[in-house]
Amino acid sequence: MPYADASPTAPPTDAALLAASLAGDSGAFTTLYRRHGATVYRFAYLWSGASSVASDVAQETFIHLHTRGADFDAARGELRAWLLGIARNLVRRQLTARHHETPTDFADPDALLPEGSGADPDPRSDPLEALLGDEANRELHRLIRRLPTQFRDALVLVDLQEHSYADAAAICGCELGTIRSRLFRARALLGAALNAKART
Amino acid sequence: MNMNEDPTSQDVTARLLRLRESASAIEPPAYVEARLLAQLYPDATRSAATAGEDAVVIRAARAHAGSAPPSGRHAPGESRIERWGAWIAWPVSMTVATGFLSWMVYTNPAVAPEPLPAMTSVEAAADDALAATPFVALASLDTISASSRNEVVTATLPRATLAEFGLPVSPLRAAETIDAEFLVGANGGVLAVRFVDSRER
Repeated sequence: MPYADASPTAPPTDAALLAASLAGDSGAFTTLYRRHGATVYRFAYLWSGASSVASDVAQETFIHLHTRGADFDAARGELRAWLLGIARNLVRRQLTARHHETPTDFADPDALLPEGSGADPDPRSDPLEALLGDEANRELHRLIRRLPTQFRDALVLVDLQEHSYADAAAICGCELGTIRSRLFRARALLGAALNAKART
Repeated sequence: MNMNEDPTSQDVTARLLRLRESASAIEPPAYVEARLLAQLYPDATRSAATAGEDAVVIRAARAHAGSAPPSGRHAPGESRIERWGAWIAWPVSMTVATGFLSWMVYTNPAVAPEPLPAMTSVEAAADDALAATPFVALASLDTISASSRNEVVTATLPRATLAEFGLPVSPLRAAETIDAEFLVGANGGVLAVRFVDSRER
C-alpha cells in the first residue's frame, strides 16, 4: 500500500490517501469515502431534507474528489472542509435544477423562506425522517430547511455537525465573524418561528 | 453553543442538541459506495477493503469486455483475451475440481448421502423466496428501458440494508451480510437492485 508510510499503528492521513487515490488506488479512495462520506451525506440531508438529494450530492462530491482531487490544497484547510465546500455548492445546484429557482431568491433575507419553496424539495415524508426521532425534531428540521441558505449553512455546520466556527468559515468561504453573525440570526429566526408555532 | 442566553435561545439550543443527537444516526445508504466504485473503478474485481472496517466487496467486473478500460495492473502487451482467460481460469478450474469430487463421493456407496425427502410446496415456496428478491427499481422505468448497455455488479452488503428498501430484516440476522446485485446503466448510474440470499452463510 503506497499510502501506509506512517507508523504501522497510525491510520493513513487524508493527504496520503488522496495521493494514492489519484494514482489509481481504489482502496485508498474507498477509505476516504468511508472516512468522510457520512459527514457529506449528513450535511446534504440536513440541508435539503431529501435523501435522494443527499445521495446524489455525496456521489457527485466524491466523483469530484476522484477527478479534481489534485486541486485540493492542504495548506488551505482540511480535506473534510474542502469536501463539504463542494457538497455545499452541489446541494444548492441540485435544488436549483429541481425547482428552477435559487432558494436564496426571496425578498426578505432575514425571514424564513415560504413553505413549499425550493428549500423543501420533498414535501412527502422522506424515509430518513424516521431517524430524526420525534415530531418535535422533525418540525425543527422543517424550520431549518426554511432558513435562508447562508444562515442554514452556518446552523447545520456548527450546531448540527459540530464544526468549529473556523471550519465553517473555511467551508463557506467567509470570515469567522460572518459565521457568528449568521448563526446568531439563524437561531433567532428559529426561536421566533418556534414561539409563533407555540402560540397557535 | 452559548448557554447564557435568554430563555428562547436556551430552548432553541436544547432542541438543536436533541436534533443533533438524532441526526448522528444518519448514514449514507450502502448503494452510494457501490455506485461510486462501479462508476470510478469499473474494472475492479474486488475493492480493497480496509482492515478493521466493514467490507463492501465488488465481486463482479463489467460484463461487456468492450467497455472495460485498460488497467495499469495488466502487463504491457497483454491482450484482452489473455486477461479474460486468466480471469476465467480460476472459477473454471474450481468448478471442474468440485464436480470431480462430487462424482467420487456420489459413486462411492459407503459415503453416498441419503436422498433428501421431497420438499413440500410450502417449503419449496419458502426456498424460492429465500433465493432472491425481485429487482427493486432505483430509477424511473423510462430510464431503465432507455438504457441499453446495462451490467450487473455484485456487492456484499450488511443485511440491515434490506430495511432501506422496505424489505423485512430479522433482528437476529441483521449483523450478517447479504449479496446484492446492482443493475448499472452505461453511465454508471444504478438502475435497480436485488438481494440474493446465500443459504450456506
